[in-house]
Amino acid sequence: MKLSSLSTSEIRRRLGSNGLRLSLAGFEISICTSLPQLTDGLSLLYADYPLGAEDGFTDFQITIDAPSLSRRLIRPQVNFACNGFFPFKPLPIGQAFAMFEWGLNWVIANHCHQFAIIHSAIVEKGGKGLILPGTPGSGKSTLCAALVCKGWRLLSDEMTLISLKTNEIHPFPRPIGLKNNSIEIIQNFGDGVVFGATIGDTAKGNVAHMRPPRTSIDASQITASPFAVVFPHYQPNSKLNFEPISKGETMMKLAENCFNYPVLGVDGFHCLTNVADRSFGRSLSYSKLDDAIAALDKLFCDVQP
Amino acid sequence: MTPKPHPLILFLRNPRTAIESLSLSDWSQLICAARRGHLLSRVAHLARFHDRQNSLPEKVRPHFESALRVAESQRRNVLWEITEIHRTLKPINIPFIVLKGGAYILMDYEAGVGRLMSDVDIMVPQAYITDAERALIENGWFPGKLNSYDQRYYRTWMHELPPLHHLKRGTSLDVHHTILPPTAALKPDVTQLWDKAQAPGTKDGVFALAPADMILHSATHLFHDGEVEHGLRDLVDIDSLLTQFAKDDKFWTQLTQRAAELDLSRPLYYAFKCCRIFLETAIPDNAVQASKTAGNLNGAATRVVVYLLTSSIGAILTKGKHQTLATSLAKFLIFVRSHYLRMPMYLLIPHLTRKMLFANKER
Repeated sequence: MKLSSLSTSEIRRRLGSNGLRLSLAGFEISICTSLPQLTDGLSLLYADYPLGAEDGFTDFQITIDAPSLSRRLIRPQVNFACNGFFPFKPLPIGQAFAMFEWGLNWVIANHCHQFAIIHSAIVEKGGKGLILPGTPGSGKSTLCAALVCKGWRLLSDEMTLISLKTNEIHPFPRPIGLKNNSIEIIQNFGDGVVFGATIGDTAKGNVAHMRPPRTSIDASQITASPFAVVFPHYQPNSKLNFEPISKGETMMKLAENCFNYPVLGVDGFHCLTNVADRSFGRSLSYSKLDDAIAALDKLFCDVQP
Repeated sequence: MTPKPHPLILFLRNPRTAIESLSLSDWSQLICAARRGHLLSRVAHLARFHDRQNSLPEKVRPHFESALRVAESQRRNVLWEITEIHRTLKPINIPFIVLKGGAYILMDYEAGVGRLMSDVDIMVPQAYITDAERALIENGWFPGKLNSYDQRYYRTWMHELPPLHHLKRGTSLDVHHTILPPTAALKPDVTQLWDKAQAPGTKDGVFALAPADMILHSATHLFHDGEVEHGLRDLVDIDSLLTQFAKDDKFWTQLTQRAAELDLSRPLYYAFKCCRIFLETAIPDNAVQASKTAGNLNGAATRVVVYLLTSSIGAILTKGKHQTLATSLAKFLIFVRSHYLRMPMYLLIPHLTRKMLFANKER
């Protein structure tokens, strides 16, 4: 059963009582809220996700609500809690859905050290994973969304989860968060893409979320193997530049982008060296999405591992 | 206590039985409460140790694997931090005692396995505290931003420096010179703690408290610091220390006598009571009685304090919004009590009034 099979009133009822239980790529999440902003966002962007298993196990309990009664009325705010713990300061109520997305990323990055967690987008084609690490503003989410529009499978636009046992990549597909100009670029780039409401004035500017393709959600139990680690860099009016980088540099840059590298110790080192060793390392600077995608397609079609 | 104990309590009392009997929904509740109480890594360690039949549910395993990694990285960090503190204080010949979680890890005690902590606590002799502070600041441990009132509060009335944070590593360090503030009604003699301190042996000038003193310090901390969020974790520490060291009657006698010597019979009695109630720790009746008599705890007020302590420690077992008014009140009273125990009224009332009036501004 998927979320889309529930009526809006049933979704609202569950969110307002014991929690709406969703199964997100193997994580059982329960969500409680009384805020309509979040209800609308979830109904639209999480429509294709399965409802949580009925065995009573929940990995993470998330509550998003006004911090106090007064904050419902005057300059309303919203607060994110996981298992009763509040990791952030409250945000204006209009940012409820964005806060849920950021909060859930925080939850996974801070509690799932069975994985090496790389701050990167990750897409897949033919079982081969393309890891796109990037500092904010490098354009990783935009490139990721564009690749997904061209039929690549979305594993995540925010974090690559690499199993420390198998060194394989576990998908965690979620709505793709896009900022400012990227929102319009992707709305015009893909056919039939669905976007949630644009949320203005966040710490990152305007933010909107693109619904992940159903095929990516349905395949979220299928792992991918690391094949290429590409560091994107969007540079307006530049020519495409797609250059190999050494295994050593690839490894060091992966470690820099690994949220939980300090926690993992030597196991994290072994995992990331393994990934760097099996992957093509490239730096990619581009101004046109089509050029970047063509170069990546060529890398994935031409070269056999 | 509720008729059916919380799954986390069942697990802590008897991990082996719990592993065989808990349902998936129980495990979910257990993990959630253990996270809130900073106990998940401890639970994960106990589960790994006691899961003989390999019967932990699949869905539970990743949480425990993750929690064990967190504990392992904390262990590395704490030992490294102790090395760095030693490197800083050794050249100027200042000895230090590692307290609480850091000490359990340093001494390789069972209580240290899976013990989470947010900062390292050390004690230096009061005569050296200014030199120690200067040396630590020169080596990268910086005091956080405090206004002049808070600075003065710490320096005049408290038993520790304002918390220090290492600029590069981001670690926190609390430097104490005794285990209770000079204003507190109970006045343990800190030189007696130094006399019995044990050296782990690898580094000159690094010490831990003697086992009995560790138990007494943990009990004191639990009941005088007002940090009941860590209450259950502190009880788990005490339970583990008692299990490791109380192998014979002699230890119980030593412990209760030591408590009397140090003027800490009251916290020891409350620790005994709470360990029995929550964890069913095996504590001989005559030890409980000895601490009760020495602490002069025979009135009805004692029962009220035990009730308040158990309700506030038990608060982590229920989720925030489900906490009853009684629990919140109990937590508040314990907070007030912890201050009252630390300060006489003529200091406490102006302090709390100021904190209340300026709460928002200073936050």
